[in-house]
Amino acid sequence: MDENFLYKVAEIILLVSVAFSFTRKTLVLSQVLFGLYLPLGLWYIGIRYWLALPMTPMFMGTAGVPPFLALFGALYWKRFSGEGLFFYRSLLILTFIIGLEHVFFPKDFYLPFLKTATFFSQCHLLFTLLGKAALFISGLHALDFLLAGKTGADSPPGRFFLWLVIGFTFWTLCMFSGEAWSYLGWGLPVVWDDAVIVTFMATWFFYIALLHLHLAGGFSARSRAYFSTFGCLWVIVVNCLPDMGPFRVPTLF
Amino acid sequence: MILKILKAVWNFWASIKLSIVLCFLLALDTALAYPLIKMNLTTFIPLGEVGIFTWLETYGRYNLGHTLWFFILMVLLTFLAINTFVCATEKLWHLLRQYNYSAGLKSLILKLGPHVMHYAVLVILLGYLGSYALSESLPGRSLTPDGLPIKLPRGQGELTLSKVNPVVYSGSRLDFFDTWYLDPGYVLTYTDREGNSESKALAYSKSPSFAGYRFYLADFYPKRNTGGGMGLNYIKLSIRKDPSAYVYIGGLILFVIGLGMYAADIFLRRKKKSSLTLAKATEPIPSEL
Amino acid sequence: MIVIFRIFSFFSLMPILALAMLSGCSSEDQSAAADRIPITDDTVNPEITGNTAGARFLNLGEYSIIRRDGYLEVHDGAGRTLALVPRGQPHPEGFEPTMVIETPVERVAVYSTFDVAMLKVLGQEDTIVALTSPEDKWYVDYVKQGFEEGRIVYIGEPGSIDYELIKASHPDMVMTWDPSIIPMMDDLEIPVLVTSTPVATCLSTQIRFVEFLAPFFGEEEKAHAFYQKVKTALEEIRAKTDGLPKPKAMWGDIYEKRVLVEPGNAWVAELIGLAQSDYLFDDVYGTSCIEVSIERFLYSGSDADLYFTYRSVGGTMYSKEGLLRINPLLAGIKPLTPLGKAYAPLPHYSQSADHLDELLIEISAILHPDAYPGYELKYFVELPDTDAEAAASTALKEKQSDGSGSYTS
Repeated sequence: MDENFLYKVAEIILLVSVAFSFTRKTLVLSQVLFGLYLPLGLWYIGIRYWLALPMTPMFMGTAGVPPFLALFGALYWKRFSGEGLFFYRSLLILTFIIGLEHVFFPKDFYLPFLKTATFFSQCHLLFTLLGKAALFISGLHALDFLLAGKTGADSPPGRFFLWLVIGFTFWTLCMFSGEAWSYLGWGLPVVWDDAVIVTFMATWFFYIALLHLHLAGGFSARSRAYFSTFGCLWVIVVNCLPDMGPFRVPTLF
Repeated sequence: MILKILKAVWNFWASIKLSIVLCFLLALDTALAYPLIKMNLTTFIPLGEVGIFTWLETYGRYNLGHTLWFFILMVLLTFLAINTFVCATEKLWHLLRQYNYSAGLKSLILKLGPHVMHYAVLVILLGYLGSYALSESLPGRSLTPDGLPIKLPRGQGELTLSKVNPVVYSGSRLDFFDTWYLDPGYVLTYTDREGNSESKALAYSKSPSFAGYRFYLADFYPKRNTGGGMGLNYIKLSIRKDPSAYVYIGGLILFVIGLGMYAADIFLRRKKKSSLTLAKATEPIPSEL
Repeated sequence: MIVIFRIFSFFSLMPILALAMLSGCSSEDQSAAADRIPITDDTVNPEITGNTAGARFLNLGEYSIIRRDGYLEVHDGAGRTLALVPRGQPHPEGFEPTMVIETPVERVAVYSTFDVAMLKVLGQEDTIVALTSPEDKWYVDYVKQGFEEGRIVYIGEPGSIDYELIKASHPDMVMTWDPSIIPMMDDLEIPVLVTSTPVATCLSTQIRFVEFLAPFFGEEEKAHAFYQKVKTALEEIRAKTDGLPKPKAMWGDIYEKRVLVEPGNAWVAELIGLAQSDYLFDDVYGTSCIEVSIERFLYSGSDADLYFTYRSVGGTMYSKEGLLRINPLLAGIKPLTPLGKAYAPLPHYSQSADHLDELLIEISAILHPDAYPGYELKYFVELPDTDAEAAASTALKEKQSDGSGSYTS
């Protein structure tokens, strides 16, 4: 099956799932569709890897995030019908919006190249996807804390901090595996052939600041939640927008 | 008086709020650098070849419109390094003084995780500086299989190339890659002044080192086993002597160890807290996963 | 509500950042590139070889020259560091003998037709002593004459160079895009200057490359005059095309299973942008003739008005029909239907960089024929739809046979 067709079908399923999540009557149906999206999304990632192996697939740093985001979000599936409903809806919407990037602005025209056929290059991509997804989950929990707090918050500060730590850990591993790849391939820790390198640094510094905000004391849970939510937007702007290609009218086939 | 000033200076640099501000500024600086680099890549590519000081004096100075962010980055990183050192040292000192040693050393070691990470950042920054400032870079060298050797600087021996065991892509997944080399199968042979030889494989993922130099495959021709490329048969090689690389690689490893210690500490504390709570059977704690 | 307001106000920084990130999405923003082109004297010190004191640095794409004490430090297209030293002066320390070039250079072996044309610009065509194309592949008089007079020798095609011939021609320097010859040249003690770069040459570098070569021959004034001439042409193009509707153009070709295009950072792409046109691979970045997926090529092609092929007219290719015979896949792009236009370079196009101003104007005239009424194409030819139409075009036949002359669009 063509991987782009699969991706678009998964997006349509997700869109219907989003729509169904807004009424109690269709909520179960929404969750079933979400359950269907998850394997399709992961299948897409699998196909992209399989097609490119032993090289690393190109420009999947954003297109590959939604399935992992859905996977991490699904860890809270037991709460989706109850107090976690706001989180569930925002998870669906964010997953859908990030997926739109690949549907309308695909950047899929560079061919895989031999220098990516290394262990560290593969690690770099995988940790990028995991890192972005975990940081998004942290932001969604923080948003849940801020907006749904009075109507039954399901996200205590500890939860978005935990995902912050998980996301930062993945991001650090993504940076370091990138540097190891860079050292073994070019002899430099930072190769300036690709401007995207600084966007990785930017997010790393941003989340170091955020971690210190959490650890320093003196900052209220709400302030920290604002920053964590802001982090979501930061990752979209700084790390996802550069992956956008030119606008293309999507066709299913 | 002097002590007071010193203490004030020390306290200023030890501030965690300063770390937060510096990190946010660094994040903003590097994020805004993206379009500047993207539109002026050729200004930044030589950074690894000419050395940081020459680069700042030439490419940096004459293209300030799009390199100013790099100067700001240097200043902010310097401040962050000072802040990290002072802050980490102070916190470590407090930890060592106030720690209840009867609780056992295992707990203390795990609590050192954040400090290990902080010192690792310093080691990494130091390694980067050394790498960009002190390394010897010889880009754009080329070799032909079974052709003439190239000489290393200062009579430190010479290199020859042979092609022994190329691996060709097979399969239908990447149609355009059919018959192209996955691994060109090069072997680099180094011969020192005394005539002693040593051979190692060379590929994009294999960068052999001889006599303190490391050799990176930059490009190669032909790309496929059916010929083409106007009959060219050679490799482009980038040669670097960079002892500082071991410093920043050490720093990266140290950081990961520190991160592991920190994660283990959090995990153990959460486990302990959870079991205590269950034992007391008081209010349920919200599960965080 | 207040919370939502706070969040929105808190995030007000993001649009600015988003714009910044998006502005970098295009590999080389064409309008920005165009703005840089008129004169970048403020970023490049023109006094690189002057006698006045002070820091001096010339940077053109991946080439650069740094003035050091008593010599010029040159970084060539491969990133190698060479020293330019006036004849008779002591050589600087730290440079291997073959990394030092004594100036002015008097005898040079050249690979690239572009470099040959740049030597012509500098008035140094007589310094050429060896070339990698035989006499019958040349269309420019000064090279033909050099062969006739026995001043220039053909040293073989790249990949099968006769090194004995190079040695016998006693060049002071070899200008090449092929670094594989460097070990052999080192052995022959002949310095090499690599004049190609891993990243495609931008428009600014293309028109100023002659300034990089000038110090080798002591011809800075001629280089600057050439630059001024091309700059005037660019300003004319910008003025003539300002406000015109933007045609969509693409530049590339399909070879076997691979698709090669000019990326957005290449000089032709920047020129197309400067001439009020949309270059459809503007977002692609990389080396000249970069590979992209066939799907992207066909997608962009379905939207294109104009197509420039890499292939010169000749052999069996004189029309769109001929081009489709070679590459049936090209049938999917609009310019190869009667709805669009396709252009092929004439054989002498690649040897005419000394007329860069004319080349630039010609590309602009192709993009906006209405702005250049009565313009006669000299370097490109519009491909008719069919072989029969091509056969009927005597001008086209003349064009491909001698590679000079002119062809009426």
